[in-house]
Amino acid sequence: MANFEGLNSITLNPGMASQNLFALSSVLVGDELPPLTSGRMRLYNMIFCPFAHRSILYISKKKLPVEVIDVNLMEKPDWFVQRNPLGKVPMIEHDGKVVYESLIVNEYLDELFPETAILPTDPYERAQQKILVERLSSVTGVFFAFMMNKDGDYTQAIESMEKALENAECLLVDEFYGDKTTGYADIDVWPIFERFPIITLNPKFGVKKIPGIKYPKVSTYIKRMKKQPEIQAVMKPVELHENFFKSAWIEKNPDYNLGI
Amino acid sequence: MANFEGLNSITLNPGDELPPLASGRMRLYNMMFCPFAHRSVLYISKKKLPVEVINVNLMEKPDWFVQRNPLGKVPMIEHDGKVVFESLIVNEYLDELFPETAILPTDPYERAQQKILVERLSSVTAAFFAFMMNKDGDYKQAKDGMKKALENAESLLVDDFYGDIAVWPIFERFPIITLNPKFGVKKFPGIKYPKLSAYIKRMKKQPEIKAVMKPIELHEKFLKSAWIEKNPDYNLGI
Repeated sequence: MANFEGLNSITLNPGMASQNLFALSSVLVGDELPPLTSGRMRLYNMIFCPFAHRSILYISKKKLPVEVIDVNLMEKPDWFVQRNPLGKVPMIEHDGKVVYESLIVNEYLDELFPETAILPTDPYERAQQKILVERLSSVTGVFFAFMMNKDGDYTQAIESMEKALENAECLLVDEFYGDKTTGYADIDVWPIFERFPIITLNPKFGVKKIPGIKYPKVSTYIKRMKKQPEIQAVMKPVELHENFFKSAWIEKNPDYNLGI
Repeated sequence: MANFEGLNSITLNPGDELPPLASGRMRLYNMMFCPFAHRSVLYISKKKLPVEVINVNLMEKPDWFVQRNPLGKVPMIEHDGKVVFESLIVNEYLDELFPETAILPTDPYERAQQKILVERLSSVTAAFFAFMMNKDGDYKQAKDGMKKALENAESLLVDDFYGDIAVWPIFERFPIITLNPKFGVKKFPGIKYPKLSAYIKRMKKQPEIKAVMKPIELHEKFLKSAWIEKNPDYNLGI
């Protein structure tokens, strides 16, 4: 995508020699952070993080020129934690200013670049988009219930998933949650919908289809979303998402550079 | 407080009629002891907005309440057929409607920093509820959580105020834990947190806080009625 620089760049670890592009599992001490030019904007990312994905989508839709630094979140470089003591992505940096938390980053970008604003300008419509994000948050909860499950019994996760999908189905009153075009709430929830099909790839979860025939609006919505240019530009195949989650949650050894 | 109408009015129950809302008037759906609704009460207090208040029974929710907010939560703002809920969304909405009394900064970076601060202070809220919702009578983990949250809050306090009132409702209620020996906490916040201690004293003098503040014993009675007796007394103190 033309506006991004480094979107699928090698993940920087604390200490990995930046020239050594293929030594992905070398021991890591003091990876040098490239300097950030004045006026340039940088996004600290992790290639498979669904929360950072929200800001990637925002930047993708707004077509902002941004350089991306991918960070090792298991072993966080010093320069990363110095900028964000919470040690989380996404994080935006420009001219000595740092902003983090995906929803705060996204709204900040709209305030800096109002000409490409995704959030509505009307206060009531803005509030409704933010309320939608809150009301759709059960979708995210459910996805992680499957991924973080420890006892192999997915009954509760499946029940929660049905509830979350019913809720998402009834909240979808137009083509998008943002009405006629992808909006703040669509971008917030898409990263999870993109990853959800992982659940159908492994029989252990006991889920054959997602979202399934009970949710025709959400099913159509997902097909429609996949055609949106800002989504397509940064979308990853489900198998790649699945491989990452396996490496992170089961093998406890996240492979941040999958697919590069 | 001059701008509020009905802030300490009798709680409405299912079957109680909802008074009509005149066009152009703003209404806050509240619960007298809810710390989240308290955030919006403080915002309205500081902005001096003319608002009528309806206090709602949250154990048995009236139909007219759930119709307006399927999540059934307070605070909720209503005016001219529009409904907004979730305390932080309500507060930002009020600033957008009434920018002349804005509490959030206008500069995008400063706004973002205020929101990040609220996020970073959220462990104080979680620490308080860990005490209130404790079931096994062992408060060791709750105390550990509180210690971490207070250390964090102390280090984040770099000026006279945080700038946001979102965390005040919990600081107003936290001292409850010193009233009952079972919690094993004698002082709040305690001498290890001098900045926080000074901050709490300073906050209690702010007009918008004082105007709606409740005595700690009243908070304690309510929380007992709600969490222990499972029979919240919504009209305490009226």
